[in-house]
Amino acid sequence: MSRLTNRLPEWLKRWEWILVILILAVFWVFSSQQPDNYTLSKLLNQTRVYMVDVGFMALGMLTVLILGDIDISVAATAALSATVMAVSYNQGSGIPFEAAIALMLITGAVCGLINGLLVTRFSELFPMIITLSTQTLYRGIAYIILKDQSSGRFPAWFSKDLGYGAMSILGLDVPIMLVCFLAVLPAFYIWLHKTASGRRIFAAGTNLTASRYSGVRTGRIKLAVFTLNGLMAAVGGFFLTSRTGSVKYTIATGFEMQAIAIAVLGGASTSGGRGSVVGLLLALVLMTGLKNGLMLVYNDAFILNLSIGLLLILIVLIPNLTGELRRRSAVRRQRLSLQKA
Amino acid sequence: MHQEDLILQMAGITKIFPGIRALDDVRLDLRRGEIHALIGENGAGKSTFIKVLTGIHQPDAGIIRLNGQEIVMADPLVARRHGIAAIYQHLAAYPDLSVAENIFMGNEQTQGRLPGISWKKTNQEAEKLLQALGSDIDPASEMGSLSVAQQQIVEIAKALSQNAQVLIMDEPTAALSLRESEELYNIVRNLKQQGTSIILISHRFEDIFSLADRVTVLRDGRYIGTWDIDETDSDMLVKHMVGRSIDQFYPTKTTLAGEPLLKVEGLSRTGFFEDVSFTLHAGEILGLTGLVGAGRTEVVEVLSGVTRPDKGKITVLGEQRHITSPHEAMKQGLSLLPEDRQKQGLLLPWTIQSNITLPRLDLHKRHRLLSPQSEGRAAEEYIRMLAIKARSGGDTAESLSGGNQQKVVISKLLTCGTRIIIMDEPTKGVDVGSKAAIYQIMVDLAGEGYGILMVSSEMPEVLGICDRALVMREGRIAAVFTRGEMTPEALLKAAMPLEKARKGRAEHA
Repeated sequence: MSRLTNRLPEWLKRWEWILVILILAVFWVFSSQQPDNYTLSKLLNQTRVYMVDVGFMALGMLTVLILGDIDISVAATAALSATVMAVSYNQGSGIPFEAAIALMLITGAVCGLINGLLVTRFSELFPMIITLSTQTLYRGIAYIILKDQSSGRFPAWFSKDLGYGAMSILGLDVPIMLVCFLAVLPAFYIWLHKTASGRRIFAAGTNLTASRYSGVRTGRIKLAVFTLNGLMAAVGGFFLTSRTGSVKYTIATGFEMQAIAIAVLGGASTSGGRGSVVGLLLALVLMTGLKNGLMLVYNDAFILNLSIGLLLILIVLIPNLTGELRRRSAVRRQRLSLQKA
Repeated sequence: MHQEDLILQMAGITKIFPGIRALDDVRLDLRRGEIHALIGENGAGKSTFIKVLTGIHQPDAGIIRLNGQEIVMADPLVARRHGIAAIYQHLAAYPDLSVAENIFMGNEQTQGRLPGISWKKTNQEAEKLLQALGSDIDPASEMGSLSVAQQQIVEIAKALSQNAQVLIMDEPTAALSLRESEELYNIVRNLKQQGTSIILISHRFEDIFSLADRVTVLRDGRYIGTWDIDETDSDMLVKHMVGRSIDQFYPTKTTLAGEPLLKVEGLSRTGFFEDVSFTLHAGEILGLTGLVGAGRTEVVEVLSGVTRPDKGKITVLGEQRHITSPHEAMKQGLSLLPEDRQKQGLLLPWTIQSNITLPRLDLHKRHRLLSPQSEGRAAEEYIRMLAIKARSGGDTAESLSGGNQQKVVISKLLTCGTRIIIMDEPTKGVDVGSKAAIYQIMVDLAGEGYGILMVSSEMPEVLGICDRALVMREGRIAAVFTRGEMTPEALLKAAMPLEKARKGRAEHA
């Protein structure tokens, strides 16, 4: 095993290739089992459910994870922002819908900014604990605003065209919201991997102290990243609302874990300094393919979650396992040479 | 030499990391009850060798014999069971627990068959161990409240509590003042008399010549030789370590001080230092020395914007400045080489290139994007200019030896383009060859009109390259010496605290 991994060329050892292989394997297994139902056009259709809203949140989460922090409150932020939008629009009798959208984005950004301020001002508290608290706070506010009601009746372009519309690309019906998501990805890729400010985020996540000593304004970067994360959560909530058609205070429950899982599966490290936009996209594709296939075969959400959980544990363990195997084989070799002598 | 004299024999130890032969046929014989110094430049393989002995690394070849019996050190627990204990440079203590708890961590004391920890026994045993070492540390005191020297003693007590036969000490005096070093020497000599065998790793010749019985030199992962301490002297050891003799260790500095660059007046930070005033001139190397804890690092941290002063004026190039962050400091013309290059100076997993360009990424932009070509050119330039030993700018910082890591940090400073350079212990933990290179770089920079403020605990280097030296004592500047006035005795006398005040401070630290 260790011999094999040592012989592989460097570019093949990259995490992204492992994801590509997994994607091909998943697609091959399910399309040979369910050739009629597991098709590209049906998968594209399902990206609305499995890929877009979670994808936006995962992008924000990716930047937070690269910084070495975490934000548990993104799903609650999405719910609060969507609530603010729905209530201010008030089924057509409130402010104009465009203004409601702007208000929603501002709400998301403010939620993120609050997290950022708390994290930078109280560096002795863990971001995990801070955002766990703001999570209940944000969802609590959403509940106070909406109570147990749901609010909807959005304009048709929103809940019909954006939520369920598709455009024809190369003969395939590609959901409009997927096009929106894919259009944002290159911007994130360039920003994180090709610009100075992206580099500084990786620097701060790799070693905060050394970055600060190198003139990186780490406090400012943290504030910016948390604010952006709140904004991306609101965007996720926006697309989620467009396909559900109405808002309750409970929407997006559990999405923070999915966002974290996608970012980590894509190669981000919870200890900071690592992560990739390409990896994130591949992880989303893998998850979409897998969830869709599992739903077709078992039609049971519990089996789906269980399988995804197992997969995540396995994947996170792979790098540790190879190191341990290498150590054990070295000990075995020494013992053998001792017996021979 | 008889076979039964040896407690530990290591022979033919070879360890290969991807691309590097870290150890190549290295051997070491440790006699019972001897202090054996293991020396070599950074990157010579000392740490790897110790990690093989303590089971952290598995060797690719070689044998380890303890009391004549061959042993496979499968993991650190096996080493511990065989009585091999190591005390590392960076202490791994639990600062919030008591001294006694630290000593018996993982080896909790119980009374009879009761399952619970017996605190009475824990404290008693701890006290016994500490007393055997001739130390009066209270076993109930909190670990974090002790000085580094005291913590080191606790670590030794911990090793003894596990019946260590072989004790490995990695740079034990690196963070200690002269007096504290003396105390530690006494303890180590004591241990030796009680029959403990000690492997001592140190860069300080004082340590080696006042403690060791024999010395083994490693160079580039290879075994160079073992000598009785009486047969050697420091010149000879340096020659073996570097593989060449160093005639001119401190370069001659010819430039004279020019216009003032940095003027500090009445600078204070409550609890750390008070009323510090000095002026740094262009072309000058100004030493800032004193004992550990005298407030030197705190002064430069304020100057470079890491912390804020409570009082005082800082004037940079004729203009009064408020420095609120390292970013501001750089913008206003000061850059800092921090004391701890691994934690504060470098992003260890990053490449040399990315480390060097980090402070001034704005210089490497093309069409608002980072230009890898421009970054690569900058890295190549500094690798050539400072003679950094690396295959390319794409090597990671952690793959370099200490001296070369330090050169990367110096490159970072130079990219900042500031005329004022502050260096906190620039040669700490750096091998002899790189030390000479760093001094040369500093003298060259001064020649080009940079002003350098150097914090240093090593008296020879203050005497060797500084134009003037400030000596701090208990948070104040106790004396200023010009080059002509500097003698080791004068510097030491100025640095030594008054006896009564010393105790209070040590407790405070």
